[in-house]
Amino acid sequence: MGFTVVLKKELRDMFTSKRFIVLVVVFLVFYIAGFFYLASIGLPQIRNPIPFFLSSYGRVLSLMASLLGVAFGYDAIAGERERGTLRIVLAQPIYRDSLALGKLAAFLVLTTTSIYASTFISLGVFVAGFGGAVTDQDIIRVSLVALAAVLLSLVYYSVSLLFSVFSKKASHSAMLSLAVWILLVAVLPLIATMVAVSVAGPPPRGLRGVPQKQRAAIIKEWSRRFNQARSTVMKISPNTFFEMIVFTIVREAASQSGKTIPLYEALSSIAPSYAILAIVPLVLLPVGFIIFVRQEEK
Amino acid sequence: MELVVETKNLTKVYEGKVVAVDNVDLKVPKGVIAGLIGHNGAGKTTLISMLVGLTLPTKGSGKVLGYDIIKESLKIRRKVGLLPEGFGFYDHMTAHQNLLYLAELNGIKREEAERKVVEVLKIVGLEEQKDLKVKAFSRGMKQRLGIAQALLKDPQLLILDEPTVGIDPEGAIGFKMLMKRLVSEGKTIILSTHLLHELGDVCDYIILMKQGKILTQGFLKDLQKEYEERKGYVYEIKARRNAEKLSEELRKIGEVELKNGKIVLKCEKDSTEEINSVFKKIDGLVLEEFRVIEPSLENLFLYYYYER
Repeated sequence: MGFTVVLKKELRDMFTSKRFIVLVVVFLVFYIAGFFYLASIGLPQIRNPIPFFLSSYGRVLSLMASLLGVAFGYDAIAGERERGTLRIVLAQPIYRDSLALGKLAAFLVLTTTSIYASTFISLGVFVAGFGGAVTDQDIIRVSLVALAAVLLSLVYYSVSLLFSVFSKKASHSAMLSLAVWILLVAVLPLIATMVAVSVAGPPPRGLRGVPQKQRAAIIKEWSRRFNQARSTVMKISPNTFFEMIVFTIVREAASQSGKTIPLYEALSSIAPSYAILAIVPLVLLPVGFIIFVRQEEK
Repeated sequence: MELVVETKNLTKVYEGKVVAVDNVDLKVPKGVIAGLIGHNGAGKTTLISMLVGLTLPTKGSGKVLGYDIIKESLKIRRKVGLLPEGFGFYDHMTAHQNLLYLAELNGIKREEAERKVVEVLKIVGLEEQKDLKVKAFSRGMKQRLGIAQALLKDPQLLILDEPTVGIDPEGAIGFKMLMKRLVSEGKTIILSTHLLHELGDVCDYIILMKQGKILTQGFLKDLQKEYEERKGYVYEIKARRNAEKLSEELRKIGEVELKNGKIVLKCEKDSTEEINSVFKKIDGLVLEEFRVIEPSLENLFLYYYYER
């Protein structure tokens, strides 16, 4: 009973909230700017638009999905606690878990509808601009990327929710959530590069006298060590797993004309990335819920 | 006497060391306005939280409206209207929307909820502001809206935690009138407050709390009767000389005590004439203070808080 009432109220609040409108506007600005840039350099006609679409749109989606999670997770509990609305709601015959689950369900609806809607609207605009045909398989590919984005937003939501459960003030939770987001999205690539350089050493120099074959082998070995170290560090970030999914699907879509990688094979290779994106919220959300349910409002 | 609230050895210890409520045996009869009175930190809010199941007791048991406070807290919150301390409303929603949401959380069907919301807004005098967003409300209006939400479920018992904090004097008078009306309709009200002068006169049952314990509880008239016996007249006299002789003379009039170099005389009746005659007999006396101890709620409170 309480769950559906909370769900309906949260949905209404989320879809009409300023932060959601701001995110939609930012998304549109990103997209329109990119589209106009491409139009300014002349729109080529593409036979297979999916790889182009996913490789450009995937980056925007990675940022937007993670921001969506942070934006709605940080004050889910702390905001209610700070405003005193948690007290008035809990004074009614409702269990604490119904309140938390109602909020989670509302977020799931919000993130799923907004990510899928924006993805397919963007695809429609892209195809209208660049031409090409979209097959049933392409719809599945795009849906798989959107699903990964939903999971990514859920990862950030669960992290922010955990901070929110512990914080008395929404501002504290927001700071922590944003710090994690900045660390994983912006700072980690720099750290990963520094770690990779320290592991693989600086790029090889002074190879002028070295025979071409041997030089290529040295550079290849250095690149292998550098990329391995970098990708190992980057795996701390859930965005890396999202990007791996996008990359694999793009590669599969690009090579489909040659039928080299069937979709089901690509799927089996990205399944671990999906699993990791799913496991994080599956662990963090129950932890947050249990802590919240056991908390007492003094 | 039918009890709506009854607890036995109710105790709450936070983090294993802070005793917020200490072995409380609370009894609240039906149809009274019970004042739960005590300083900030006396344990009033924790006691209330345990009564409605928002906080689990560390020890002890209790029943509210016949429901167990540990096992049947949801049933209690369905029947009890609670105005928690430090509550808030959703600022972006109107008064009407806020109440509708809370009514639906109580399982009241939409149509019935709409009717109820209008009814309670009228009771608290906010019917004309029902479509205003709560962010435009004053503190007093929010407090009235808080009472309105507590009335939504037509509760048999209302528990109001510090309900007059931030309300102007006019609002406080209106609040007292509303409380009296609700009790006349057969409801029971527990008012938690540290502002004795604001709510004391509306209560007919008193629960005094200090450091997590109940100092006393009972009908005001019974407590006052006990205290009435302590009604008295106090004279504080400073003797520059002849202190011993003075004490001897004063013992014939009442109870004598030496306090901070002064002689404190406590009499059951007005003894001004007798004291005047002593002043004529002995030189060097100064009457520094004279006061009458009245059986007011404030004095009753001070008596239990500091003297007993």
